[in-house]
Order: sequence, then structure tokens, then C-alpha cells
Amino acid sequence: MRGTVVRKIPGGKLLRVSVECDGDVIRRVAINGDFFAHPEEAVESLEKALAGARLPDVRRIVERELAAVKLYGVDGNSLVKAVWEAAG
Amino acid sequence: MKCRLIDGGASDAYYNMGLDESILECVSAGRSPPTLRFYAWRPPAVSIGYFQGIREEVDLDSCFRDGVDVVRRLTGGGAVYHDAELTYSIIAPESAMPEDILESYRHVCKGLIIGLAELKVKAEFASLNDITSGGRKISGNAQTRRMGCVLQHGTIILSVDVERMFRYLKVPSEKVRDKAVSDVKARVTSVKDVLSRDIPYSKAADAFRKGFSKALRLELTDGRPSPAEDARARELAEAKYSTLEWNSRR
Repeated sequence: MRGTVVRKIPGGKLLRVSVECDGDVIRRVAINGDFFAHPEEAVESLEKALAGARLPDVRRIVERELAAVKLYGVDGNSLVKAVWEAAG
Repeated sequence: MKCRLIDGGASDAYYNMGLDESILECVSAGRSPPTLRFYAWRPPAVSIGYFQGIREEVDLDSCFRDGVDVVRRLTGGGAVYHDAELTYSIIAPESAMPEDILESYRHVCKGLIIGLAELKVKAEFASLNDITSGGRKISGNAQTRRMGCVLQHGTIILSVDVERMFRYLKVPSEKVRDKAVSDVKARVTSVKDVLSRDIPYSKAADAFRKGFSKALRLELTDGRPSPAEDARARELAEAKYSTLEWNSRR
């Protein structure tokens, strides 16, 4: 199962999330867009942390990985929602 | 703040991005002073933001055909077609900049707004990272914080050709190409559009020198990259910014 969601975040930037899943297990996630994240590498860490995770755990992982990250133009909730929708 | 000014003119995309990173490393290590840099792009280039997918954003065939460089930036933000513009970067220790990221965008952009005023272009900051004139974007900016330093770079659009821009930047689908072009025409302007005359790079550089100097209270001294900075910039251009590995990583 593979899906992509492209979304303009209200008042923010463009977010493009692609997900590959087996059932409710995520194989791969790609988070792209014209947003800003400080530090930038946190987004790659999040993608790695989500690979192999179950969909019900996505929110917890996103919150954990982004706890110390400053995001501009996108937010954790939008990311969680986009991963779910792309997987769905 | 004492600050070096490097006005290096035009270089290719890979060296341009390599030199920004090289200066960042040297400022971080205390080997170079805080630095303001003005530059341009020859050949013209597309830069994409750190998080963007190159295939989604760039028409690679058209870029290759027309000799337009394509490079991924160290900073987030959107894809930019760099042609008739002045690009700046400012690299300084975080301690010399507002701690709050939004505030630091506003702080640096003041230099651009005063510089634009020197050119008789009225402009204002548009959060998060743009400057507008008459409600239309005239400057885009992007910032990263690494190794205890702030690197902010951005463009001041001296002249814009939206049709040409969309030869190299992808639109969501061919069906909406005409709408995308007209939307951008309505949203983007340039120094030339505002003043109805061309402003050469050198005149713009003089204006932004004054603008940054006033707004950021910089004591500017003309300089150039040190031999070590230049060598490292060339190394980064070759081993990072011109590689498929870096540019196609997303």
C-alpha cells in the first residue's frame, strides 16, 4: 500500500507526505515541502523513526521526535494527519 | 558588530552554496569574522529547499537542456529560479542575532527593506520569510542555525520573467500551468517592475550595503574569502552540492 498526500497548511507552507505500508505497519515515509525545521536533520530522524512503526503509534513517535524541534509552516498535528491519510 | 563584506559577483550554484557553508564553518570555528556576502548566479540556477523533492519541484530535462544548474540548499523553504537578482547571505554567531527565529528574520530583513528604500522601492516584511512591495513578493529568505551560527540567505528580485521561471519549476499539473503562471505574476514583483527601469547588480549592492549597515549596525570592511574558505567551498561544491547524492536525496 502506497499513498501520497499534498496539502497547503492553512497559514503555513506546502506539505507532501508519501507513505508505504504493509497493513498498519509503515515501511517508509517521505516528508517533503517548503517548510522550515530547526534542526533540519530532525525530519530525517523522524522518517527513520516512523519506518517499521505501526500506524497507531505515529502520533506518539511524532511528538517524541519533534519535542525539541522548531517547526515553521507545518506542525506535528498536520504531519500525523498527513501520514494517516497517505497510509489510508 | 564588525563584519566582513564579500561582494563576489556571479558564480555557479555549487560554489555559491559551498561558499556559504564554508564561511559558516569558519565563522563557527572563530577563524573568520561575521560575514555579509552579496552574489549572483551564472549560469542561472534553480535552488530547492532542504526538504523539497527535486523531481516534484524541478523540470530537470529543461534545466539540463538550457544549462541551468540545480542545487539543494542547506536551508528550508521553497524552490527559487535565480537569474536577474542580487542574493545575499549573512553568517554570524547566534549570540549576535535575536534568539527567536521569527525575530531574527525580521531583524535581517530590515537591512533589505532599508536597502530597497535606498533604491526608492517601498517594501515591508511579510512573516515568515518574505518581503513584499505593494503586497507582492520582492524578496524571499531562508535561515538555518548550525554550529552555533545563523546563516540566512535570500534573494532580491531585480527583474522577473515568470514564463521563463516556469520552464524550470514544475507546476502541479500541465492543466493548471496557465493559472500557476498568472497567479505568480500577480503575487511576485521585482525592483524593475516597481521602478519601471533596470537597476544593475552593482547599484543594488551599494544600496544593500547601506541598508544592512544601518539596520544591523554593521561596521563593514570589504574582504574576500580566505584561501582556506575558498578551497573548502570548492571541495563542498565538488563533493556535496554538485552531487546526485545531495541533490536527489529527497
